[in-house]
Amino acid sequence: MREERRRDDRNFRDRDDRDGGDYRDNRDNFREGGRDRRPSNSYNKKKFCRLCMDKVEFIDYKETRMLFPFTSERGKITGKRISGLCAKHQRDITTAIKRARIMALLPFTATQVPLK
Amino acid sequence: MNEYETLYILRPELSEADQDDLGNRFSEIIKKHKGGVLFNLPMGRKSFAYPIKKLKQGYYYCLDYAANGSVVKELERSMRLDEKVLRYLTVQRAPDVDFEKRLAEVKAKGEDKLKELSKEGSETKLDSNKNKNDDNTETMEE
Repeated sequence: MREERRRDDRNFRDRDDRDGGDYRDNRDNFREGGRDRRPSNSYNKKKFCRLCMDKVEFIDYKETRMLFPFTSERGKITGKRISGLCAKHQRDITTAIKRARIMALLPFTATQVPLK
Repeated sequence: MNEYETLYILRPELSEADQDDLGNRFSEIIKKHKGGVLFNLPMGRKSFAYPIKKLKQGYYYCLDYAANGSVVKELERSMRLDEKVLRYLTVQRAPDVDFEKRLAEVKAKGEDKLKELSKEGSETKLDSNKNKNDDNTETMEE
């Protein structure tokens, strides 16, 4: 709740600035929001594609164990930012998950009642 | 000749003989069109992630073959017409394959056998299948 409010405040200020706040205001904003807010550790750490490290060349859609970690709780495909994959492997994983869904190996949505 | 892989799901109530019959029929279609079957791998009875035609489980088969594109058309046609097949999906594994070479490779790599991980999974499912099967029929009657 508090977080939301703060964000709103910031937006409000941003808008103000655009309307002609002075230079100092802008600078303050830059410090508070934006880059400085990130913890320095995570900012500098570079993510490497897990599948590239393992040198995976072919992703089999039948192996759900391999695909499952790249889906969210709701059965959605996780984005590149979260999965940390490179563009190529993200693409391959995506098509594999979609194929697995067609063959009922993976669910389309988690709202579909789990079968026992 | 390209290498294709067709994964198809059969109805859960089929007997083993029925399943083999269908497998043979599909293989014959491929052979008739001058293609070669690399393997027809039963992946066991698996439960679906969501119901298909109100069914909860089905027999998965993985059919790999080297053939021309026209064979896929014919094979899929016969699968579509057969009501024992719940669903199928054909994927091209590799373009321009030599059948004999590929067959030797498959046997060397053991691609025509279930991988250990997936085998364990299917076995555990097979054990608990009997009870599930009863449930299945009950719900269907309702």
